[in-house]
Amino acid sequence: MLDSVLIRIAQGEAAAVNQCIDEFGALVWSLARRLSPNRDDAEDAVQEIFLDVWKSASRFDPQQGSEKVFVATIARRRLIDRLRRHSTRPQFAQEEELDSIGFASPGTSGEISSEAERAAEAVGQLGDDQQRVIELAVLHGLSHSEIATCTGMPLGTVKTQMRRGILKVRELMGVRVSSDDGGGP
Amino acid sequence: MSAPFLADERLVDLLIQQATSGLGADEQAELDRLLKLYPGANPAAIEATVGALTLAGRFDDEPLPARLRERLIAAEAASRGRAATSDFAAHVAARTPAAAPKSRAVPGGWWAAAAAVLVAIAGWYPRFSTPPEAPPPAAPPTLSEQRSQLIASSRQLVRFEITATKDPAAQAAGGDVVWDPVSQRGYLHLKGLAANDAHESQYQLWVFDGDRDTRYPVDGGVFDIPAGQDEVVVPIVLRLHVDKPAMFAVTVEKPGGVVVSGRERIAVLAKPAST
Repeated sequence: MLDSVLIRIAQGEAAAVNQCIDEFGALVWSLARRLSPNRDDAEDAVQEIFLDVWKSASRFDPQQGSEKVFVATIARRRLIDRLRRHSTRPQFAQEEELDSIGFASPGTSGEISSEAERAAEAVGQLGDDQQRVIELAVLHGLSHSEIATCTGMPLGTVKTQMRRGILKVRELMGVRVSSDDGGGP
Repeated sequence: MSAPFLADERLVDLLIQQATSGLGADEQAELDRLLKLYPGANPAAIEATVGALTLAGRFDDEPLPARLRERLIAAEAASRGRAATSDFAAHVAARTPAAAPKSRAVPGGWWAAAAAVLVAIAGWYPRFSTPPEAPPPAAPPTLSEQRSQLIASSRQLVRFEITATKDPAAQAAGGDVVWDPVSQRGYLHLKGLAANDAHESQYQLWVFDGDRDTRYPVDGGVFDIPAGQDEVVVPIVLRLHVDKPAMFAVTVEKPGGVVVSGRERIAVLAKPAST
């Protein structure tokens, strides 16, 4: 799989690091700006994320998922860890205070990746409440209790809608149940 | 039918919270205890779903700032513990869009692979094997420091002196290029070259190789001179091997650079130093 930039990084290929920044720089930068309290912190986060991506590149298996999901997951993890570490999570009193990002409309994206298209299709089939709590959690990084605060939903309802919504998305994206049981290497 | 651990509501709630907003110490301990009840479970499946959903957000498509890109390259070199900059250090600014591989293209056969996106990802998901509180990376050496380290460590170093042309951007330009032919890396050190507006034009580096047709110098990538910055150090890494560098040139090109320069504006040239 010479086309995999992460595998090439793991193999020590010089140009691959540069290519990795070309391919995922905008994605990581967008996520960092979204989930960081300010621009300076976002820049620090991007550096931390890419170092983690390069360090973890040898764990990437193209048979098990795309590079983009791999990078996005590491980015999310680092950003969440940073928010928790620095206690700098923005406080949102009302839902209106959140700018509207939302999920991309399925079928309109030559712009977004296949995984995004599939996920957008799946989330589009959920009810409004499930879509909203997932959006607030996934795209804005809000906790269950923060979502309850800004939406006015009871905490138990937030958890239930979130759980059902995420599991439904998994199902709609075609995950095989047997794989869940099989665990990972 | 669903995997047994997915029927445990509390476990799934914790996995979702872990993937979306993180867990406190008590919650993490509770999650660890619950996971022990399901030895075959793949908890990364939830995180993979969140990862895919993350990509579905409508984000601003702002490119990575050039300055941050430079910082990443330097950090990568430092992370590998090299005294000098790494082979991986590359041109500072973004490559031409046409040359940059696009990850957003939808590959054929996606449907067969779609399920695999979220399947059995634990093996390459480092959450469960990476300490959550990893310390932040140490500050990397600056490009000037890396250049000095290369000069100090290379036995084959070749130096090229920069001379300005009559181009208006380069009237006060000077500096040098140092190049290590063994490791195929080096630095362009520029002084006095005018700042550019990256929306209008960018500087592009070229290397003339004695073994190649002079009509087709090797592309060294594009870079910017920020306003107010009289002196810059640009790391050079070429995608092609250059055996006999004879001359370096910097041209002024459209944003993103060109594949073949029309050489309408040559800002500076760097020829082998006399000593």
